[in-house]
Amino acid sequence: MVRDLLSPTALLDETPAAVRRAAPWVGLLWLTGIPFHLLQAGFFREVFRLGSGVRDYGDHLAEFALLSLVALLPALWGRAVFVRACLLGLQSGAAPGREALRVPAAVLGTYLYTALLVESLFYATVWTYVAVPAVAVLGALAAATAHRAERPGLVAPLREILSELSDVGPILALVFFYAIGLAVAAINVLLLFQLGLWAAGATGGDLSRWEHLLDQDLARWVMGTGALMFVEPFWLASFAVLAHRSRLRETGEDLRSWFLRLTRAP
Amino acid sequence: MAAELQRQLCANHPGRYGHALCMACRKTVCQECATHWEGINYCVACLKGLRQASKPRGSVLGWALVGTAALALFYAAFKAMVWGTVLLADPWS
Repeated sequence: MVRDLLSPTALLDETPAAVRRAAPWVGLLWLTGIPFHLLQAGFFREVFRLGSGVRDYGDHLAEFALLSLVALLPALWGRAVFVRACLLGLQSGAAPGREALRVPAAVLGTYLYTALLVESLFYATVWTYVAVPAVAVLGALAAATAHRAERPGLVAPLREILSELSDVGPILALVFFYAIGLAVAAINVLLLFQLGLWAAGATGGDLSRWEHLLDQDLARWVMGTGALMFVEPFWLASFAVLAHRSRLRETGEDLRSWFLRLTRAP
Repeated sequence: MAAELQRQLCANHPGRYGHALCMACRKTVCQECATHWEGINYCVACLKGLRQASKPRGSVLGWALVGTAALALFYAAFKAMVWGTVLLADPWS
C-alpha cells in the first residue's frame, strides 16, 4: 500500500475525489481562465490563418500576445486558489471553505515567477510540437509545488519542481492518460454542440448561421479550448495529488499513517 | 568551562546557575533561557533579535528578485509568444 502511493492508478483514483472536494473552486478556475484560454486560442488561430504572411502582421500579433499575457495573470490566481483547495482537501479529507482563497503572498509570487518561466518556455518551444506535453507537465508541477514556498526565492521553487521529476514513470502515465482524455473531451464537446444544434432545429428556427459558424475554423478552436478547460481541473488536481503524496513520502508521514492503520486494525 | 558556568548565575534568573553562554551578548543563561540553534547557544532576547533582523531582509531581497524575474519573464514570454509562433506558422522561413 505504501509503495503504491505514487503509482499512476493510485494518483488517478484520488483525483476525482480531490476535484469533488474542491468543486466550488472549479467555477473560479473556469471564470478566471476563460479570457486567457479564448485569447490564446484566438492568437493561435490568427497565426495559422496568416501562415507564411505572419511576419507582415507583427504589430497585430503583438497586441494579441500582450492581451493574452495580461489575461494570464487572473488565470494564474484562479489556478493557485484551485490547487490550494485541492491540497487543503487532501490534508483534511473535507471540502475546504474560504480558506482556499487565502493564498499566501509568497505562494502567489513564487507561482507567478515559475508560471511565467514555463509560459516563456512554452512559446519558445511550441513550434517543435513535441515539447508541448513536457511544458504542460512543468506548468502543472509549478502550480502544485508553489504552495510549498514559505518565502519568495528564485532557486527553491525550481528545485521543488525538479525534485518531482525524479520519478518520471507516474508523470509519463498521467501525460498519456490525459492526452487520451483531452481527445475524448474534444469529441464530446463537439458532439454536444452538434446535438444542441440538432435539438434546436426541432424548434423550426433558422440555424444556418450557427451551422456556418460551426464549420468555421474559429468554432473548432473554441471547441478545443472547451475540451482543454474541461480537462484542466483534473489535470491540476492529479499533480496536486502527486505533489501531496511525494511530500508525504519524503516526511515519512505515509509510514506513520500506515502504522496507525495497522495498530488500529482489529 | 561547564564547571565555570555553573558557578555563575543566569542573567535573567538570579536564583539559577548558569548553563550556557550566549554567543551574541556573552551573558550567562540558565537551561530555560538558552536555545541551541545551528550549533550555537543564544539567549531568548538575542535569538528574537536575530530572527527579526534576518526575516525582513531575506524577504525583501526575495521579493525584489522574484518581482524582477517575473517582470523580465513577462517580457520574455511576450517576445517568445510572437517569435515562437512565427516559427510555428512558417517553420521553413
